[in-house]
Formats: sequence, structure tokens, C-alpha cells
Amino acid sequence: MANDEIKNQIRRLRFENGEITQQQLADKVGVTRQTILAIEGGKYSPSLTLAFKIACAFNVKVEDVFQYEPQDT
Amino acid sequence: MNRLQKQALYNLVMIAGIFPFAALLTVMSLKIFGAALSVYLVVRNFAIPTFCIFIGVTKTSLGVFRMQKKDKEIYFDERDCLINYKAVLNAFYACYISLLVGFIFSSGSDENDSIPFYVLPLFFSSTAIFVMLAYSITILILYSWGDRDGE
Repeated sequence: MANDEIKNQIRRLRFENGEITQQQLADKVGVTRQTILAIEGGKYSPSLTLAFKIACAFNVKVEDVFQYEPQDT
Repeated sequence: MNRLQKQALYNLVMIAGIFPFAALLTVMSLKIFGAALSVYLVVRNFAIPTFCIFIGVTKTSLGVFRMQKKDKEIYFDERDCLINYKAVLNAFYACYISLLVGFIFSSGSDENDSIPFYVLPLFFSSTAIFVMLAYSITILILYSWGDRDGE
């Protein structure tokens, strides 16, 4: 479930957008606060739909919220 | 904690609470009535009615608390759905393994190479407990109980 390769900027974006709380963001995108917490902590990789919803909530592109960082092998 | 976590915790507490009591009752019954009759009597006359009443009362009381929640709040999303799916899958594995192990160990225990009739209630009750345990433990682990998600 958790994926260390996908980084996110949700925490930063929340504070840049009027310091909205996790609960407010969760209500906006239609999930529970626990899910937002898990995504922020990198413990859960959201579905494509949810990723787009989160990006829409911040008025940014998906790649501005989530970044894929390949691990060195 | 969300609804799934509360339900899982409730299941674990219920099993932990009932199991020693049921074991004590079975041992007492074994001494009084003997093996075959005691299992049959305990399951038919006490265990099933008590279990049904207990489940009914607690579930009803929990249901009252559930109704008091806010309407707009979201309780179940894609992550919950995924965790629930994995928990159900693990519960199915537990059911399969429990029945398989039960049949392997009980077959041949009789002189006629058959399974004694009083073993069947034990089969199904133990399978139910294993299923509940697997489901609850999976949910609590996947939500990282006690970690950041534990609230």
C-alpha cells in the first residue's frame, strides 16, 4: 500500500492555500481525514481519480502535487 | 478511529472476553457430562443462545451511537474499501485453513474412520472465531494501529 517512490507536496500546498486543515481537504475531495493523513505521510498511494481531485482542490497540476522518484538500483 | 477499526477492536475484545469463559464452561461440562454429550449440550443450550443475545444487545447499542453521527461526514472511501477487501480475503484464507486443518485432524479419530458428530459444532464455531480474528487483525494492522493513523 505504501510507496516510498511517490513523493507529495500536500502538506506544503495546504499551508500555501490558506492553511486549510486535513479535514477541510478531505471534505473537498470526498475522502476521510485518515486517508489524507496516510497520503501525506507516504503510507498510501491514492488512485488516479483521487490524485486529480486533490490537484483540482489546490488548482494545480497533478505533477505539482505528486512526484515519482525512481529508486537507485 | 473509523468505523471499521472500531468494529475490529470490538470483535477482538469480544473474543478475548468470551473465550476464557467458554473454555471454563466446556471443561466443567466435560467433567459432569462426558465428551460427546457435553459439547452437544453446551453448544445447543448455552453457547449459541448466549452468543446471539450478546451480539444482538451490543450491536443494537452500537447502532444507536452510529445514528448520532453527522450526516455530511464521509466514513468510507477508496482506502477503506481496499483495506476491507484485503481483510475479507484474509478471513477467507483463515476459513479455508481452519476447516482443512480441522478435517485433517478429526478424520480417523473414530473407530469407523469417521468424524464424530459432536465435532461439527466445534468446527464451525472455531472457524467463525478464526475468521473474525483474521478479519479484525488484518484491519488493525493495515490501518497501522498505534501509528500515525491511530489517532
